[in-house]
Amino acid sequence: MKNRLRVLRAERAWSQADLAEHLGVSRQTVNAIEVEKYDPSLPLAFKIARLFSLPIEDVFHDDDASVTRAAE
Amino acid sequence: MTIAPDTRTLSAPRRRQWKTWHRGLLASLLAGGVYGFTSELGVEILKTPFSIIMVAAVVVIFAMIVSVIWMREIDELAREAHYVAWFWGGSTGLAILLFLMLAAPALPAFVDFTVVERAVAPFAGEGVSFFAGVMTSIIVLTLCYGAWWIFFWLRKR
Repeated sequence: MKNRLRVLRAERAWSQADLAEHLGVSRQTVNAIEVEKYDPSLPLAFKIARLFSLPIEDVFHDDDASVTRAAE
Repeated sequence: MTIAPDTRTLSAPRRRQWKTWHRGLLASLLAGGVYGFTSELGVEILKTPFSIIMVAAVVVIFAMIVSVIWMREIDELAREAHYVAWFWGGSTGLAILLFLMLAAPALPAFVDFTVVERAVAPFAGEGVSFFAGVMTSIIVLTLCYGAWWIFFWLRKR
């Protein structure tokens, strides 16, 4: 799962520790998400999106395009 | 002198973990103190089989309560580390223990088990062989758990 967390954080001049404090997680968790070694749970992903006032798909995007929408 | 970091610089989950850690440590020290104090007064708490079983049960229940609180307080990545360590560490540990059990008849040719039994005898009383076996299981499982937990964190860095 790709994400723009590092960019969004940098835009606000937040450190990883600042973001971790906002999200109620550890700095290690923020780092693991940023370097894309860990995919957050849905609740945490929504929390991140809400924090940046963005739709979740503007923060996270799947690089797997093998599944297309059923309506198409 | 304290080994505790300045908790004001810690994130919210880390602060909660330190609190749980300190309370657990304090309760353990308190229990140890009570045991030492009563021993000095000549009251032997661990005298009868029933009292030994009761104390063992209290220790295990206390450890489980602290573990549950700990698991609820850590964040999801830290919890994931424990899930991974539990599954893979447990599986690896059980595989090693299965091997040791199957190979047990041949092992005395390579290992002097009497050394182990002599080492644990002061803690085990008459159940020394059983104690040594259970202790071996706990050590192997704990080592495997720890190894997988470290491996998980190294991979997520």
